[in-house]
Amino acid sequence: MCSAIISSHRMRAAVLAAGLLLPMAPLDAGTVEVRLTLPVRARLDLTGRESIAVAPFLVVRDEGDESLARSGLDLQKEFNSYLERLLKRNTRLDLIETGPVDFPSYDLADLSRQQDFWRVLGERLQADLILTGSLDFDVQDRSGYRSEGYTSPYDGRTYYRQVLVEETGFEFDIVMQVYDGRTGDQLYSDNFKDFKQFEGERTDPLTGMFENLYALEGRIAGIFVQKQVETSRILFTP
Amino acid sequence: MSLVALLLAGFAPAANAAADQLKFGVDMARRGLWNEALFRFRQAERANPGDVRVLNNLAVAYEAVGLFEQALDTYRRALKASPSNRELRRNYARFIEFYQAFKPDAESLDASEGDRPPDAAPESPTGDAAGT
Repeated sequence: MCSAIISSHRMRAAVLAAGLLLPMAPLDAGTVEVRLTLPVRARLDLTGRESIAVAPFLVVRDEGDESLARSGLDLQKEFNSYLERLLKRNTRLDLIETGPVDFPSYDLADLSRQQDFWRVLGERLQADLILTGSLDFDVQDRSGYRSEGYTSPYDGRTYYRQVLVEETGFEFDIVMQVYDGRTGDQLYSDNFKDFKQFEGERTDPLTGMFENLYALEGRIAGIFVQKQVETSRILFTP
Repeated sequence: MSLVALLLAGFAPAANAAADQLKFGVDMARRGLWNEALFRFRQAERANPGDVRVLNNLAVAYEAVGLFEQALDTYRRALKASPSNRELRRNYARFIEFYQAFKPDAESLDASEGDRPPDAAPESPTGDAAGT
């Protein structure tokens, strides 16, 4: 009887200790993934720079000239106008009209070495920055025959047939360069590419071009302004 | 036995409080209320200092509210406490990747640093590392 009471007391003490120990035990290794938004700094430091001139972009190649001509799309004009709108919307930089620019060369690699040319242009325009580069807009006829299955209503069997699928692809390859208008130094150079495909043989190139540009807009704006990106982290749960 | 129980009873409320604050903080973080989450994780740290889970969450909250220096410091403290924690190392590596792009003039940081304690001494002939 006595040993039974002692045993009972010991048991209670053990349970009590275990109960008190529980909160001290390591928390379960539960985790949860959360999303957070972080800033991405602009690629260019605009401190002390207040104006920018968008010089005409060199059109390297525009394959599918026929469809471009048919649509009346002036690639260079549309792109420069798009860039000016983007800069007005996203930055506080004053936009300076360049007017016609006589480039000493139409080879971008060569132009990027012409430091004096950019410095003189910067002085003439009184621009802190000069934005320029090259455009390669490629309209591709991607129509072709594809195999398509269909079920016959007569015998319920599946047959395969060749079907003509008309599709148009638009590929935009942009090189963007920024020069210091005071020194002629190249401050930034990067390449942006996007490809979009649409059903239909004669999709409007202007639509295709702007679909490409909308896809690239965040990256292009990111040259001049801080952006936000969403990322994930792991939190521990108790 | 009763002495042990009394000693444990002294610690239990703090651990409970830390767990409660941690739980509430995670709830807030999941709703995107990062300032509240940060406050809760700080409370949890006060109640249970040195807990790697609390330090990890605190570092993430610092990141989320833009206090990147504090995030770096807290990640390092967490890594010191638990150098082999996989989730913590993953968070740290991602943070360093971001931080280097955001602040290129910051001291040289190695994203793979998450694989070892940030303040571990270079390998020595005796194999001892700082903190041992």
